[in-house]
Amino acid sequence: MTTTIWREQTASGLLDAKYSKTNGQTGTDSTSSGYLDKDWVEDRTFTRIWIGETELQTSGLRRQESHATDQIAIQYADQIESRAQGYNVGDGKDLLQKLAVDYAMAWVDIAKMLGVSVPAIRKWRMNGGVNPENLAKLAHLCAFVDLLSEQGIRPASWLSTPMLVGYTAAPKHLYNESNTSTLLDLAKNGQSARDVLDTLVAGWQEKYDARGYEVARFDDGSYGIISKKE
Amino acid sequence: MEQLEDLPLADELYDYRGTEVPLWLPHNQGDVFADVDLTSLTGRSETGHVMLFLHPCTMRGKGGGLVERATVLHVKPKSSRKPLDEAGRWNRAYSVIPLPDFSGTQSDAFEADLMAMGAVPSELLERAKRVASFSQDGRSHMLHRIIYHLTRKAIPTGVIARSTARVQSEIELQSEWTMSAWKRLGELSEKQVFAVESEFQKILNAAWPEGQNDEDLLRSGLYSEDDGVHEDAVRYLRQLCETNQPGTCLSAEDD
Repeated sequence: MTTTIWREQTASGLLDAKYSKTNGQTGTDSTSSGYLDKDWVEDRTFTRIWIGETELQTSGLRRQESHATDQIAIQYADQIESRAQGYNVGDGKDLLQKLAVDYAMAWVDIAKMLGVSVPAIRKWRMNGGVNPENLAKLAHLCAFVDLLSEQGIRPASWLSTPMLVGYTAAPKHLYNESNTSTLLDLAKNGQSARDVLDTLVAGWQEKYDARGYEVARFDDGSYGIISKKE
Repeated sequence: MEQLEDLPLADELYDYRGTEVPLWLPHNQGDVFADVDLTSLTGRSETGHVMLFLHPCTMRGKGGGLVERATVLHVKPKSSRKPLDEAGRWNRAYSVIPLPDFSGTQSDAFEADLMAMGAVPSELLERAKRVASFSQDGRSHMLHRIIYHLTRKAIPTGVIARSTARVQSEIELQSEWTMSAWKRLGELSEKQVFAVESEFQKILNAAWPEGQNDEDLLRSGLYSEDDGVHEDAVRYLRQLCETNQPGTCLSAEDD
């Protein structure tokens, strides 16, 4: 909500007006109950005007922050794109190899992030034949994980780790080509997980609610599901 | 009102349907087999479809093959005309594992009956008879429904996927191993595929050069809680795949 404030209605203007009326002689009738009532009314008015001023300042700062975030996203998108262009050649087998061997990524995650099936990835591994559209997607993913890795992050683990306690959402669930700048910003701690989820997934709290369950390792070395301790 | 999670689209529920299930693909929970003797399930001398019910951790013996008798569900036709793949279609079907658009031709649907469970000799579950295999998402939905059926607890599929991530990683790497042998050596028999799978399991159960101690097994690395150690184990196995290791046991047999 935007509040318009005239000069004389600013908090400092109100203070000036109040003190100039009494020539600095405040509190002459401070023991009267009528004065006390009047004082609280003024106090509330003053506070409201102050809140209005602060909201104006905050909304200005928010716009500035949002603009800076947009500019950072453009810079990251450029970085990813220029890196991806170098990869957008060949039959795609070498890129799959890079993701699988260098970065130890699971095929199922690669497939999900590219929006194709695991059998499709297996066919590409066996016979090549990646079409230009999918090759571009593959190049984009390679560029993205390269940049993650350059931040000292292990991409396979980072992409699969839940972003918030109590929720199952992990960066890999949010991945698509148009979100990679935001995810890179998240990886660089430029945005909080909550902000990223708010931006990218409507209703994420419901969609990714772990419902009080978490995964734990049992003494036989396997993993199981337990109720989360409060 | 609470309800079970919506199924994914049929294309995302299965990895393979119909005759396209590769022979080199390891047995996995939810695999459907055709023409299996149903006597132990129905009490009648007949054949039909069954779904492998056992969890991947318990379905295999020491050598990596299926245990002697495997628990299965009876898979029954639900429609021979419609795929039954509309959103929310199966939300109230609490006692079945849905198999919409089963053959991938938009003309049929099946369901695995959680009330019709039994054990069959594993040799009946031949790979050549396999007609469907779930995707990892599909398997999470299968477990979501099994757990609900048995306990009335609706565990989110996202939590299930995370709890089964390491075992699915092992199966994915085993698939890659057998697929690499297939690619290098050509078509393999069911027996040869099993030999290559056993080869993979032997490597998993052996010490690995990157382990922190001499006695560290590659399997421990793969199942490590430490993501870095897990990734090292994955990388090591994939490098072995690249160096034509898969299937060397078959060459030795030939010699």
